Amino acid sequence: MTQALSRLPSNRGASPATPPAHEALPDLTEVHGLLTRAYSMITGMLDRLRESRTLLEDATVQKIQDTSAKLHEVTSATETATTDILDGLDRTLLLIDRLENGAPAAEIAAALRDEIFGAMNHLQFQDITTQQLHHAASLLHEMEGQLLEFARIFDPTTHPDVEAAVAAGARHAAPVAFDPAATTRDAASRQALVDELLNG
Amino acid sequence: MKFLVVDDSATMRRIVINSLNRIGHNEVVEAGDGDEALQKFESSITCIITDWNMPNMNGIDLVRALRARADGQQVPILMVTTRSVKEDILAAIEAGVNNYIVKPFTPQVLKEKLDVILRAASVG
Repeated sequence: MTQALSRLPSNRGASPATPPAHEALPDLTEVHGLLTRAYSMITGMLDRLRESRTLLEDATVQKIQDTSAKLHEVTSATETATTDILDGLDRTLLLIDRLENGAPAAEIAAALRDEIFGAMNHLQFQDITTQQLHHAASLLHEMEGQLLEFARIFDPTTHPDVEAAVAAGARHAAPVAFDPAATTRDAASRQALVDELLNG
Repeated sequence: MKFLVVDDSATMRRIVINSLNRIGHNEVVEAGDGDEALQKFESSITCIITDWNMPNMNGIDLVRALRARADGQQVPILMVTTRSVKEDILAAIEAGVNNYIVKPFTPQVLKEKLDVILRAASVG
């Protein structure tokens, strides 16, 4: 199309109504064909952009919502476990007070051991929240890759620092194994389902 | 009794081992994934407690690999995992676990499930 347009006569130094005899006029049919093909290419690209934008919006919005939900669950689980551990430590201090006031040492020792063991058991939240954070990180990494692909639509030669950052993120993401549904919630009802299937 | 505790989380291994110690089981071997567990498994291991989600070799593949070995067919295996959907539980049963605990678990639940499978193993 550029070549066809370049054959159109320039306005300088000549009457616009009378092209020089030695210059050939462009074939208008060819120009029309070129413009029609260009229009078709542009509308095709616009359709593809609209489709990509919709897919990107759907994918990223859902992933952002999922990531946000996971992070909220991490906060909640951490807070619950911390409260349970602090409550146990409070009871431990009361037991020490009783010991200092003459309570039987063996009885207090047994109760202290129970409280300390209980506090240690609450630390299971660390394994579960780690899996939740790995899941959130994997969602963010997926979004990163999709955004990079989207950017390539506009410029196939995306900035090398961006590609390197995405690749570095991929290296950090592996190898870990996690359960995307890992949760601290409803342990008793989940165990009840297990028992039903085992005994059924 | 000698236990093999398999979990990629060092915290969870400590919690399980503390629970075992508390009920009188002090001989424990640890592994961080299924591959390491297979290397450490030997005939003196009387019970295996394994997680599911682990790198290199996960718990379900570990169970299948053990059940495929002549010396691994009878060892009691307890799965301890966050996975609790029906399909996963059934897959674990089919692979050959003897019992299954969801995380987070209480020490009482761990003791109950261990008692069941160890009693069954001694009868069998």
